[in-house]
Amino acid sequence: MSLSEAAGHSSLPVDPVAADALIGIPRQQTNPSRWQGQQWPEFVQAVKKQGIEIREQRADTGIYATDAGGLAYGMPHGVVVAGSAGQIAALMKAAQQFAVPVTVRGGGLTTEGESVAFGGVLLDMTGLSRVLHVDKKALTVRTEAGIFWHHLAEVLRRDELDYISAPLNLSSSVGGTLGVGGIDVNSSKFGCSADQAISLQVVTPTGEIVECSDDENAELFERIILGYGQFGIITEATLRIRSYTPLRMHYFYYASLKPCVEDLLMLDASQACDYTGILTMMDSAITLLVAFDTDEREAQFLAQARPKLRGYGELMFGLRLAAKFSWRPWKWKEALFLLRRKRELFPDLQPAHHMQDGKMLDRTVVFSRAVWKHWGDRHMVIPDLATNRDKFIEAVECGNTVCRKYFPYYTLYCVGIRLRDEHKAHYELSSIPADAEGWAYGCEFEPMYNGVEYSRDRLQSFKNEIYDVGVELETSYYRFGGMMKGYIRRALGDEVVERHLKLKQQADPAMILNRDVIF
Amino acid sequence: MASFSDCYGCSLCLLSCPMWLQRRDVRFSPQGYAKALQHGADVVEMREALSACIQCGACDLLCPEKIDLTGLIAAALQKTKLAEAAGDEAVSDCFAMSCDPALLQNLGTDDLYIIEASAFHANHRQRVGHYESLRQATGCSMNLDLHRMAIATGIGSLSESLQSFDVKKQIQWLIQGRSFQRIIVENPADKTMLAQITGKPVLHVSELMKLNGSAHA
Repeated sequence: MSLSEAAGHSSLPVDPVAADALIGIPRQQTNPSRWQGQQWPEFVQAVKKQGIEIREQRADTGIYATDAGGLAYGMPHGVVVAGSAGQIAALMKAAQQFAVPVTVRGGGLTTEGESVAFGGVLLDMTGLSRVLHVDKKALTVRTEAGIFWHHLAEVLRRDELDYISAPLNLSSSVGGTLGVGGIDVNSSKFGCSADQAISLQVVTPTGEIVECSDDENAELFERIILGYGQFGIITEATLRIRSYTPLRMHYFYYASLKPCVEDLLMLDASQACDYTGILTMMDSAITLLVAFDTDEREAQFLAQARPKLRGYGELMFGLRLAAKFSWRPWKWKEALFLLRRKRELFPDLQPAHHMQDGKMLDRTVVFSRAVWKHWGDRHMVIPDLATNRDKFIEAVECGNTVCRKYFPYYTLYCVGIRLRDEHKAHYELSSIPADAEGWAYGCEFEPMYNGVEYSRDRLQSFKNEIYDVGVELETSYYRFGGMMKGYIRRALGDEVVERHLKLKQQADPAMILNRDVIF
Repeated sequence: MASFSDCYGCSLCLLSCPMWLQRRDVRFSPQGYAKALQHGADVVEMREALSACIQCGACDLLCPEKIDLTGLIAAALQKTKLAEAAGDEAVSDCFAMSCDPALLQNLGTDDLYIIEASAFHANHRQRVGHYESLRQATGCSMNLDLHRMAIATGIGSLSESLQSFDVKKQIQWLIQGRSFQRIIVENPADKTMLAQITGKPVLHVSELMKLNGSAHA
């Protein structure tokens, strides 16, 4: 059955679309229609009666006009800054009664408009962002969920503690991350950020405040974790944490993708490193980064795994690259770009004031700042492919071909995610492919604009073509919501989507919570 | 020169912003100012939010667009006439003293060294390595956050005089989880209140030198 036929049998309306994907998947229009509810004034009156402040001035709502993707634009009718679970519960009850959409935003680091409100209420969770309790003995932290990972790290470091894994982008919020996954360079060892959650306080779409975990209200916990904000608003989270350790980093350089990806898979399977990942400059300079929490682990790696790696050290790789370009003088622009990039990037990956005795003191800050400075842009366009181990090399190579077609300069970021068997239910409607066992792998494909302005259509076409690779390979995506939600059925199958839609309709009768993200 | 209209809302300025950390409300942040201005607010309407900024300068360093946030905020404050309430007392820059080798001998693991934030941020590139080396060599604590920005006390700021910034709360955050028996400050204005709140002896960096018989101006 084709997708359009499937959509015809679905209870979901077909999206009004702009240009479809190359293989015919109807595309979500860039901006969903704005909610025009007549009931807004009555809703505001009801909410204000309960002492909840709603900001409706353009100067207040305009703060939230777009997200990190910078391609979707929308204005809420009003903004509520989260103050307590009770306040959010009252807001949600009124929103159900008046059928007013509520869009929840943490750090606003979505790329497909998932945290942009196209009318209705924008709930800014950063108002709820304090650490409530650190249990140094049990190595857990209870925190309000609007907190940025960076601030959580700031608090934990005062006690020589650290979070386990978090996105490299530190202005993402804990609650938002738990809703989608969260990938770090140690996810191949510890799993995604969402797997570090022990229990949550959640406000349901109908305004109940519920504590949930694997043991208490387990079904809700399953839906909330990696649930893309469809089944509730996380207001507090208890997370596993660990002792802080500085890192010993090593970088290995490759001239082509395949051997580097193969080495990454080998290192993860043998658990030879505490941190692994790939960062590239196009497919010309591919860096495998590995790191260790202890000297013992590093020594073990150098003795056993290092000899098996096919990557070079910086000097040898530089010489090989110089030789390669001397035979291809017509590629001088690319050579110059690589040189400039190296000169700018490398010092920022080892800044003296974040190093001590050859170890990196604050990976969270170093990586995050480098990501913003060297990868981030006003349009953070990073389509991705998430696969099992077996399909990963092919996915990276196909995606790379698409990048080459669209942009002269781009970068890839690859990382593994250790899966937890007991969390299979969490992964059901998520980026984790159903056929992944042990590890899932993700690759992000990010254009580097280098001063060139690309149209939104070109960027959208690029995203579609990357996602089309995923359809061909029958795999999944990390960013499948918002503008890319046309792909959800093909990636996850009608049965899964319909089942979750029914659950959503039960949990959120007015379908108001984060309404344009998945369904 | 980049201006508020260049802000695209990345939120990085919030990460070291003392005002935002106290309020947890984006209106009280450089990003909030910028976005409000982009959407038609005028500085008079933003008077309350502007008055809460202690102008420590940390945001300037975090902004990927390189917007001169502190300069623009100061100009906005002038327009609101709030700046007139400020005293004209200039803070002495003690960086030279911090480079004196005697400081290495006199600072120890029981000390909390408070860098004067605005002078530090204004010269961050030149100074951050020095302070980090000093911290590593002496084992003292410093008022540096993970970004290696100085956590400002806010004491003596315009915001403190307008009672729109809670200095006590800020100092509680600054000392949270830090173990120390003595505080060394670069800004003399910090002495009295830090002593009151922490109950620990507080010395100006010049006094620390004199304690050990070194001759320093």
